[in-house]
Amino acid sequence: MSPILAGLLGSLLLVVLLLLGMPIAFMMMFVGFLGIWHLTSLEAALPIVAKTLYGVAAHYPYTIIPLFILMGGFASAAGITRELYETFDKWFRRLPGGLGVATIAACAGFAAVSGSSVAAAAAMGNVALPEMRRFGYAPRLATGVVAAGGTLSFLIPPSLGFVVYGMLTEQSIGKLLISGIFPGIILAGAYGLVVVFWAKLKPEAAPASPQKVGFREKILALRGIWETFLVFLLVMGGIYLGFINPTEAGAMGAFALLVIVLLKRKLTWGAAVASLLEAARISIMVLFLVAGATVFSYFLALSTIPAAVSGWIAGLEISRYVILAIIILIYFFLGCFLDAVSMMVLTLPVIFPVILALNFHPIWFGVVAILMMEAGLITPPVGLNVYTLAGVAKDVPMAEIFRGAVPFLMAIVLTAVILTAFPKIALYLPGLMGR
Amino acid sequence: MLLWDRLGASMGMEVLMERFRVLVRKLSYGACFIGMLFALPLMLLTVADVAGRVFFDKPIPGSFELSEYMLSVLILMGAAYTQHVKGHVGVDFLTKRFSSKLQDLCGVITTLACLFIVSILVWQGYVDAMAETAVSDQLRIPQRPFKMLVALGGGLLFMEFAVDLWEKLERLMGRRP
Repeated sequence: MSPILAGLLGSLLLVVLLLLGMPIAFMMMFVGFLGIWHLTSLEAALPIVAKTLYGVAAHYPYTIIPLFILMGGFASAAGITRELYETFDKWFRRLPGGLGVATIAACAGFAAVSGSSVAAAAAMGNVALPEMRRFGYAPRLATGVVAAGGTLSFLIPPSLGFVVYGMLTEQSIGKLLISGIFPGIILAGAYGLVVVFWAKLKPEAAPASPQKVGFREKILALRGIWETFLVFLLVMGGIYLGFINPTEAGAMGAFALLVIVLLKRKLTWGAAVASLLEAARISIMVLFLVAGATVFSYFLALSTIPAAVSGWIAGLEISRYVILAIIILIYFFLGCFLDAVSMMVLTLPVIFPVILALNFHPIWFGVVAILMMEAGLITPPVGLNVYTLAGVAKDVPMAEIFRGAVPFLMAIVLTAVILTAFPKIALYLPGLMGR
Repeated sequence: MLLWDRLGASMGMEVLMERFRVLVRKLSYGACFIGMLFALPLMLLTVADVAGRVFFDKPIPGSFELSEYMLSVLILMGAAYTQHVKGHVGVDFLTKRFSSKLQDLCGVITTLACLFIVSILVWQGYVDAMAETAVSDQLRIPQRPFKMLVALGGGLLFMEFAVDLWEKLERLMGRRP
């Protein structure tokens, strides 16, 4: 059997096991092991899984993952979501759909101190949803806003998505994180515009808030965002200026938030254990996926499939943007069924060499890929943020939340188009680093 | 008489499995709890290292390798608990449309595949750890105990999958709702 045929059969087995519901990390280890065994020898294949797992579990740059997740846990415990929401409510209340815009702004603020989008959706769902419902917002709009707002955590640094992308493609995690800042602001702005247009077109979906807020009150309300601003400046400023590496930035951010939550006397034993357990669970899930992807990548490399595919695609006489559009569509489709990290580990071993062969900038593609994976958080049937929110807003059917998220999906696609037309938006800040 | 013997043996087996299940769940949670605690010293050590370097030009010696070791404890000790809470993600959009029997059959097949690869992980993790004689660069801490966590954490993970398999088989045979 030729290596390419072995690779194709291995990929087919992977798809079958995926559809049968096997945990993806072990599925990739299993198929990767069998493939390496077939293409080399049992002696060569046997030690690979254990060695790879230890290599991943004891690799210094990966310590960033539990630290980023801890940031989100401590930020939630400190009540930062409520403070952000109350501040932005005072600033945006008078806009059409003001509470929705405030929710998006608060989600963007929370994203600046948290790496987990599900945590953002859950936290904001508990804070903003009751307020919007109290003011008579339509359930579809209210839940759609929170589900979409939560996705911002995947793009605005500190973002787990960029860390995993950086690990799998061997790109600078620091540059990737910094590259997400401007696109994150643009996406948050686009989400805000969606809410404003929605409220303009259907005023009954977002009744205006009658209470006026004075300028002095607005200025005083800014007290609610200083902690977020400080932590973001410490973490991203430190990385951007090169004082600290991303892992150290994660530790500094988590420590700063721990100090804040302790000073506020809001850290209960339950919240501390929940934060640590969440950090452990997500880190383990991600790093087992990375270990699985590494084993599977060895097999794919032996099969020569990635080189063959990228060579074939580079030789096609069609615009590279057509291929990019196809890749984006594939991500959009996969996002309906897979979570973001799984999607990355399953696709990047083949897609990333193609992107390099087509001369796209790897950092820029990272931002576009993360954007499309964000879309997967709110697309049916497996939109993780929608599932999370359905647990918070128990009286709103899940289909209604998915419908509410549709206009925000368009905002994601629009942002991807803008980024493709103007790649500098993502590449400007990383380009200034390290000079 | 034979029927009663069989039933008795079966009930004994069920009680034994229930105890095994409880034991595995306790061990998994305990191991993950110990592992997750390492996130705190990991954070504090890194902050102290940065502070020492920036303010006193004296980074903490060996903080890099200590961080790596702590991460390995955090990750490897909690693998079984993560499986227990179904934290190792998979997709179920297709299987959840199947009948419950067919779902359990798919579950048995995939769990057997998981058991196969985890058993290799445990075996080779032990072999690799026993062969390891290296120590860390600065603090001269032996790598072997940390490498042994691959076998230890993998062993717990194997037991979690074994319990999963047992439950699915029981459901498949109609002994469990």
